[in-house]
Amino acid sequence: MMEEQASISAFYSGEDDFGVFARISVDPNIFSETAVLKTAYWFTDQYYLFISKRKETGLLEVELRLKEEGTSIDKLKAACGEFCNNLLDQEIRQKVIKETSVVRDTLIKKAFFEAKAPLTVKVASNESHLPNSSQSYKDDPVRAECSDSWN
Amino acid sequence: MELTRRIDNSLYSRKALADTREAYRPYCNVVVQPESSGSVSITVTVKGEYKAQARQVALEFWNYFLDTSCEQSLESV
Repeated sequence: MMEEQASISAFYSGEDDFGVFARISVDPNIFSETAVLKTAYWFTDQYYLFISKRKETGLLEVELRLKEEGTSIDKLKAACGEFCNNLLDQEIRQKVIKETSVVRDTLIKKAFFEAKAPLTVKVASNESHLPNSSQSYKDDPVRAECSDSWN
Repeated sequence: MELTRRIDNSLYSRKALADTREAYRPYCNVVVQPESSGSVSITVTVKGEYKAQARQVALEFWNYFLDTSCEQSLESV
């Protein structure tokens, strides 16, 4: 037995064998599927979620249920509001990712290219002067390691 | 206690369903029925020994399924 009631802001609430639920309709022309999925992914630790697509309208429907049984619809309404805010946030992130993807890819390519490229100038390194086991810093004729105060 | 839902193949992946089915095999039975193009009907029936936690098992199944689908689809983006 399922009873549903519609409110103004495309928010539906109802009750079935699994308890109280709320449903939000999301227009895919405004919010991308990726944004909806990313938002849903963050909400599954606190709520039970289910996403469906209406064939006739193309609208995405997000169903939310609280994990605790017998909770009030107000709590669920607040959760839906939180979901919508996060969805907006995620959609903006997606837009920024899209807008800056060329710059980001260029930077990444440059960073990897530079790391991979061979050195153009030979490193001035002469390892013939490495000390052997019988030598000490005290034998250093230049005495670069010792200041006068140590003597 | 059973829960039937129709899913859209563009939102939930077939591989995610296989993974979820495998993970929840000890707790519930899953029947998959292909419907019109692009959608599938899934019925989750909680096993008798978990009847007391039927709500939790059934809804956690759907959460796991959604999580796995999200991970798989977002990896490919």
